[in-house]
Amino acid sequence: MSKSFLVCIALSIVDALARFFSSYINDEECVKRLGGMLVSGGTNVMFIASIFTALYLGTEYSNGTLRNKLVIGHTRTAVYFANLITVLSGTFACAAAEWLVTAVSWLITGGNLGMPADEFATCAAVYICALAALCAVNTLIGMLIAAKSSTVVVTLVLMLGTMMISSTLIQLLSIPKNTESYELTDTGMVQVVVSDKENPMYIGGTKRLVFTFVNNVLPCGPACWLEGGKLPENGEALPLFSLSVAAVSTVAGAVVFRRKDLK
Amino acid sequence: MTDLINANFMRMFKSKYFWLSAAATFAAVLCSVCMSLSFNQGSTANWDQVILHYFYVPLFTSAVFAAGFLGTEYSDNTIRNKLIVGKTRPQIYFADLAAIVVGGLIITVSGELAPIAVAVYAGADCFSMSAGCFAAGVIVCVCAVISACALFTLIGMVVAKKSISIALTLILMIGAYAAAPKIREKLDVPQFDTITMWGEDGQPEKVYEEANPEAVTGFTRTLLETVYNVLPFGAVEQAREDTLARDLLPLYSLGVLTVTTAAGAVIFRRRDLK
Repeated sequence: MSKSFLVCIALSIVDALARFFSSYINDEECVKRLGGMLVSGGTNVMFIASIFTALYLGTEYSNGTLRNKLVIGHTRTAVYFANLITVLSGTFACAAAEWLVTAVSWLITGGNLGMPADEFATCAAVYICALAALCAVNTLIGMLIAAKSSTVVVTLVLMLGTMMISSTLIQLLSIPKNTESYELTDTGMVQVVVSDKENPMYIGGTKRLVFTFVNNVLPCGPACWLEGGKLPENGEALPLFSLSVAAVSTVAGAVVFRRKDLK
Repeated sequence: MTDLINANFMRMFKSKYFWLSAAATFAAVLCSVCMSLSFNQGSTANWDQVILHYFYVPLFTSAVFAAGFLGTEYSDNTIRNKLIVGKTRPQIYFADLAAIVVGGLIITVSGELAPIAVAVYAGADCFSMSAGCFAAGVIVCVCAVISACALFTLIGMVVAKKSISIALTLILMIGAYAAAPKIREKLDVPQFDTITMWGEDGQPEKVYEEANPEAVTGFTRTLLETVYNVLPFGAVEQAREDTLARDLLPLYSLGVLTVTTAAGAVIFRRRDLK
């Protein structure tokens, strides 16, 4: 058991508890939305998993483990896929720890799923596939960069950068098509009125397609959508994007790693 | 100690972490400014606000620079060499702190060059703050960067492994970045709810205020305010507000600088360098 793995599991548990308490203190009714809470923590798990991957794969180079594996006769492709499977297992273990703590905390306080089972299943599939895509990208980085510190920097900066890009894109894509105004009702309540007038800030046409595509192929994109606790329009297609990213980055990584000069 | 500082500066200007951090800061801020301008049709940018807003980016990149630079001190055995030639541990610590602070400030300047360049290129003349207020905001942000650099130095000098040091500083910064708006949200909840009774003619008849149970008060409020002021991202966020609380923020940064430097120097003095 790697020290970085155990620290990351502990971080996942702390994160799940912190998310539970901060939500529960703000709104006790939130226990009735367990499903949304489970799938909304994807970005946090991704960040923790990135730390684990960078430290774990960096050690393969710094300790000479990689060379030892090759010396005893394993092929480079076998080494690459073995590491990918280890990274996937570690990442899913972090996600499982987070889900377990969240579910137990919620069930103790009498919570329920709060969404139809099929919708939850779709959200869970999006969540899992997004994690798989992230693992594939992180493995590609970790197996191609030999210096451990550089792997940590590249992985975490990439994670942070894509997360910020994804949040901006989602914010832009969420701008409503028609303008909205607020009216005060007779009872003093504020009411949102949607007019027929087109919103000049709305992003449509090719630009919308490009933004949606970019967001879907970013490893954090689907997880950022799920942060709201629900899927976007046509969200069922998100696992396909994630799996494509995972496949492309794994093939690219395996090919480049085969030709890499390991000195 | 001057020769230690000079040696550190020489090493800093040859460090790939320093140049990459400065270039990444400039590129990230430039992309962000251009993107937000294109989405807002470039019409309503208050350049003083924009310049102050982007002080948060160097806090991340300086973290990478500091951890990478100080991690190399350990991995290349530079620290041991400095001790062998007779330098004391506090001297080494303070010389490294000076290098990290200067490096952090240069990285900050490189980031701030981006909005200034875009403003000059766009011929912008839209400013919302007085010169004095803007200068006070800049001082608050610079102090926040210096206090963050002191914290990075503490981590970098105490954690010997470069990769762990980089991960730790980045986690800390991302945590602080995520925590600051949440604390702000809690502090912004109004202390009182305004209740309006409406008359039959649709006009407000009676308006009164009652204590808002959601509002944070008392000791918790003081604690949250202190944490928010101590966090570099909290200081950067408040730099654009012309308030008395904003003017006191450099004192909080000075406090962080003092505490982290004292703690770092003490821990480093007793540290087993193997």
